Amino acid sequence: MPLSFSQYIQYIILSSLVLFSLLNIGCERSINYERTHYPLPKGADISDCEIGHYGGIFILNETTQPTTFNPLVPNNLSTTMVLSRLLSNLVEFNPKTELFEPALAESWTVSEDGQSYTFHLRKGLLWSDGHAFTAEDVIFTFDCILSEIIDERSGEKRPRYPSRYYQQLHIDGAPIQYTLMDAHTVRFDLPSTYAPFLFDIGVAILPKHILGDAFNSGSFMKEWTTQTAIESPEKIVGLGPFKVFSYKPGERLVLEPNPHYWRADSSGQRLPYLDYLVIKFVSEANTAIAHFATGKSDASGVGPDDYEWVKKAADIYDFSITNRGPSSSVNFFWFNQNPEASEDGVPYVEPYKLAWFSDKRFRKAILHGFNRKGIIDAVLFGKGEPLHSIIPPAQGEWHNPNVKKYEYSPEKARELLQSIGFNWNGEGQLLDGSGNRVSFNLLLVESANYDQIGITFVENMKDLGIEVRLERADFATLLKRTDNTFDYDMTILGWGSSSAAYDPSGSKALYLSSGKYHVWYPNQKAPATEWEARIDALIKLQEQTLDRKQRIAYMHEVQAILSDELPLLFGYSPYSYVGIKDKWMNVYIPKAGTILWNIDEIWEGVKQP
Amino acid sequence: MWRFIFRRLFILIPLLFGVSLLVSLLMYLSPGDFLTQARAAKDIDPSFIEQMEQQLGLVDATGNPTPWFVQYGHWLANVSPIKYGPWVGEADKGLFVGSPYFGESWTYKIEVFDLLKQRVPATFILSLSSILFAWMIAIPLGILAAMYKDSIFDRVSAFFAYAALSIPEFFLAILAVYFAAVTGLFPEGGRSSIESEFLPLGLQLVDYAHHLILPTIVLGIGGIAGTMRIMRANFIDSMQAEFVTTARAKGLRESFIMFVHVFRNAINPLITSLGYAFASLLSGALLVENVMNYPGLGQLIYDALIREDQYVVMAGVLVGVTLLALGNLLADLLLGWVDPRIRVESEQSASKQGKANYSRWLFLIFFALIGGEILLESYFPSGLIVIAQCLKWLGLLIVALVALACIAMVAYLVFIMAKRLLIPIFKRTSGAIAFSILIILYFFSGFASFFAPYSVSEQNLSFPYHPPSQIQLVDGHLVVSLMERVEVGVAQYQSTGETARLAFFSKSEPYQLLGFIPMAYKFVQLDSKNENYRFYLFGSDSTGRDIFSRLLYGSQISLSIGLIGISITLVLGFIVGAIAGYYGGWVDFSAMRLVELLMSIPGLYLLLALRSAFMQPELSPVQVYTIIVVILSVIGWAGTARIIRGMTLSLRKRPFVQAAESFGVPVWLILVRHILPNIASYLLVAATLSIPGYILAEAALSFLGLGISEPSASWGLMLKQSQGNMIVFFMNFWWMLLPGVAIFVTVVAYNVLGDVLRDIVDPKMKL
Repeated sequence: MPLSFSQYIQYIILSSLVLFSLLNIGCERSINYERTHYPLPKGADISDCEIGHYGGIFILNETTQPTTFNPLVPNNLSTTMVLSRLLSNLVEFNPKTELFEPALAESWTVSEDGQSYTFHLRKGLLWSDGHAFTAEDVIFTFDCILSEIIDERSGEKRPRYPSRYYQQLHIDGAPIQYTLMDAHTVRFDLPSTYAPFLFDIGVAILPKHILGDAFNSGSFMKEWTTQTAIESPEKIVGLGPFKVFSYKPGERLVLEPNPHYWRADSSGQRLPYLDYLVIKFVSEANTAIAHFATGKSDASGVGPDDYEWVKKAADIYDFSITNRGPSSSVNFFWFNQNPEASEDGVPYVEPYKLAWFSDKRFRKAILHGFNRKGIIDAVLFGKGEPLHSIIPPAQGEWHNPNVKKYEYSPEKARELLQSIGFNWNGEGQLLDGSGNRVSFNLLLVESANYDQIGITFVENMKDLGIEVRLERADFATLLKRTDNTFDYDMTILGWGSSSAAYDPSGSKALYLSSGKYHVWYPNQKAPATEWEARIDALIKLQEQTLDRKQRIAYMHEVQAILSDELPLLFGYSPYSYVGIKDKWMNVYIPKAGTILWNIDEIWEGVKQP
Repeated sequence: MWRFIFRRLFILIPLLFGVSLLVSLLMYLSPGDFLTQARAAKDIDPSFIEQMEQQLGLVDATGNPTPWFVQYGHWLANVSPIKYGPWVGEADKGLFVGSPYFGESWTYKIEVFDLLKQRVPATFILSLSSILFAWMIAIPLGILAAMYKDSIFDRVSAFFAYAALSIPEFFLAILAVYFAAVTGLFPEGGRSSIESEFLPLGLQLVDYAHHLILPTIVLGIGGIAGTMRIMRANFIDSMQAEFVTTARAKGLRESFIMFVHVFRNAINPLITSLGYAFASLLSGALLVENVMNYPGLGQLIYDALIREDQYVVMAGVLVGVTLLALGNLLADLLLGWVDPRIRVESEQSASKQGKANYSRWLFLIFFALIGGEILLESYFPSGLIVIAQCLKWLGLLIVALVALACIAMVAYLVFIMAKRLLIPIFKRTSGAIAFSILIILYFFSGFASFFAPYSVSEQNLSFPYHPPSQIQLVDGHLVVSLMERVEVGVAQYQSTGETARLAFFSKSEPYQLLGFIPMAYKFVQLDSKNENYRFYLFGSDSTGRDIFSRLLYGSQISLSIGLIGISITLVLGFIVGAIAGYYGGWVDFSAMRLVELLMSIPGLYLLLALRSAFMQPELSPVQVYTIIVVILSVIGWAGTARIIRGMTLSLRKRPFVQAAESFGVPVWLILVRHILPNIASYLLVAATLSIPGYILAEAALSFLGLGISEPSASWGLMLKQSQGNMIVFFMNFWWMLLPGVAIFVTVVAYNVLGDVLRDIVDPKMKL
């Protein structure tokens, strides 16, 4: 007998009722994490943080997914963030004290000439699978990075497992030497005095007993893939505060406490306090912010344009937003000043254009003509500052506040242009001394953000009689054009760092005229100008000085030269806001870098009524 | 039965072969490969990249880039279950049997097969649940609409069906995400909640179902209208059948007659449509998955295409095609099961010897072409360049001819409409309204530069997110009350107390109307030269650009793309369809196989693949526009060609065509003089009903950031701004959603007009 219509409706209602009642059961279940308490090792680090209680699930949103769990495989920012929870380094940067502090190494000594570092490791530490940690593991890690083989085809030496650290651990082309002293001591010898050594030694230590076989058989790079995390997370063994509980690509990564973690609080409770750390993957940043604003995640960066509406929900979902001031990321325009020619003899930049681009007064005029304040006003709702130096104010002492500043002033721009022989024709178009129409292309990465900057730049330049056309490219194509084919007039890029630890040598490749990130004219055989030669010298000097004050002085001079010569036309720094729920205790928000740098100490306090 | 299934699965093999070849070619043509990213990243050692290139077969032993057929061969050798050692990097083995290897994803660094294993079930379930949802709503509604034909209920449900059909899926998805965020009733995305990690299996399933609800509704709602319309028409047909009269005469209860006799007969055509429903869902899923953060196949393929992750794209598209083919197969089987009168084998037993012959020839020609290309490229590359040049000029010639034909076709159809259909359209209220709306829209669009107070890119950084201006009538003049920001840094505005007059037909900067008429007057402007006096009829966007002006300029792209696209589609469809139908034989056979190949790839996948092959970021807006139009029409013509072929096939047997043939009239003249006028009305209806597809497709492309780019405007692009920004919802900047409304109105108007036209031409036409 077929159903009548009313019966049909009744069934639908009934089944949906059943469904919803089931859902409610699902939501109200609490999750209890059963901890195994192992005795603390002798060398455990006792944190001086406020004593907390076990428990709590911390939820974070990420827009990119880890592409691997092997730190030596080329990866992205998200991977680095996740790996820093799973693995530990010899020394770690503490944004509170702004110093490198002991991590796996309990202490270290530096020889008088500054060329030899001896690290004493903590004793009795265990990997997350219960296996003992020794200096062998440290040696193994550096073997993985620095071991070399002879390439069959070219006959040249090359890294056996190419990774980003290979270059980092070379000073002027010579590798750092490392020696096993005893089971808990390792010595590093540098080829020359090198100030940022502690900054560069921050390499995640890998377990020899797990990865040793793969290292020998040559399949090291195929270890610890995302598939490992999906199928057998227990194989990813580390010394960090957490280990992988489960990984569902496109959905989430759940981390649980490492029962053998080497830190404890002063009452002897082993850290971390959290039961679970959940990293949820969302398709884009806006979704992440919306989740935070509706109480579905525990912490999030908040863009200046979103601050206004996110703030509205702060009382409902009990979170607070902190203004960290101008962010540590920088963005800048630059003109292509490469005077060389391609293999076919065609100059990269047409000579009459190169004449404009290499004239610093022209560059200054452009920067004066660009309404940075206006963009900040409209797009960032006034929450940002024009940038004046390559090292942003967020980097504290390293930033030079007394550099030249270029405010928005079309009048000054016109004066400057006139002073170098430019003039305007009847239709208001700008012509150079030889009568060429001033017109160039601005190459942008395809993104809504750069589009807004780009269209404003175009409008601003129109006011000066300059014609700017927008060209868009994906990031890879853009880099290819700016670094290999040099086929562009002007472009803009942003640089940011996720780490609070800062050392100017990190962006050495930008300062040095021979550097590959010396974007306006990279890989110079010899410095093209005097001021570039001076910067090269200053960078060398600051690397070989262990005196921090002196290093800062050198870097201030570098900044002063850059802002006077203006090879980079600085953009702006948005204020950086971070939100975190009020229930989390032991939170310390640094000026730059992640706010969860001490995730092991964070615990769930009483919920405010 | 089993033989039938086996046969269908066997046909799938050449299909997959063709599709993979096509996709591989397109990926090869697109700029860059999937190591481009790696090469750009400075921290990856060059030697590592060299190693990868070797491993992936992108370069040969000497380090030179390999041609496309080698890359494809490399892929094919790995996929094939029967492998030859040296071809797959295992030199010490000869021929051996191994499991198909689909390559490795560069992004995720795991095997493509493992990646698909995670994603395919998600999309499959989503598509299935959407179909079920659409049917559960549409079938009862369709039955009720049929039973109470022409009642208020019928009208209202028809209206809602149109509305549902006309909302762009991605727009609905944005609204759904917002709804979820605000009410908290549903999860805002994802496939399962965090708690589900710790729940027993039963509750995990419930949790999964909870996450499925919103995507299902968003994806399914578009299908309701079509299904309901078919259901209603079939039900009405069956209600008038003789067996109903018989049943009534027997004295059966009315409800029994309706639900047992009529229902079972009326449901058959729906089941046939299941296969196609699946196709459109796979495309729709791509958008919905992206907006709603649902980790399925669509999201994976989209990401992979953007990142040039070639092996993922190829395998993903193949899976999509397979799903589609299986959907069609399932539909046929279901039909056989529901309606015993249809025997699935019967259609196959009719297959003639001739067809087998044709397919043999087709294969031969196909392989000869590819073989020839390979030989030329290997031994005589300069010859290939000459051929390519010739083909390019030939192509340009064809394009010019097609363009001329398009103009002729459009003129002809407009003439037909004016002559036969204009008066009947205006006799029906809905037709008259829809037609007038479209006329008005196109009028404003054509004269955009006259009506728009500002230019398309003019900003004012002091007025981001300015609300729509208030207009008052003071002393017989329209004045605008001016506003300023409450404080810098907040997009809240208050009135300054000042007003400015609106001046109609006043002098302005000179511009060119319709692109060639010099003009210096605008329809309406503020009667003031003050930079800080602004008139925003529909508000402003994030850099203080006038939404109203941008809507008008955007309409030039969004509205014309449909017209131009459909005319190309019709011309191509007519040429191919009519020739295939008229000549029959091998022409028909090869044309229809091509059509099937195109129709077997989910539309949006093909669109994206074509787009990445031909679009370079450096293109000018005009070039981008042209490419989009061409791509859309290339994808669209297949369906039209198939139907035109069917109609030509039957017309050809009619006496007047045979008479013309016996007089020795040339074929092209027969096609144009005798066939075309007889299918013109049909073409017109088909065109009207397909234009919305083009408008929505352009919007979707621009929305994904793959279509028109700033500072030009199109409705899809403008809508992207509101999706990219939750701020639009949470700060209530509702005017940013107006482009979505504009798309909606246009699409509804076209759909209503198409429906009215169909009623006039042939009420039983199934489209």
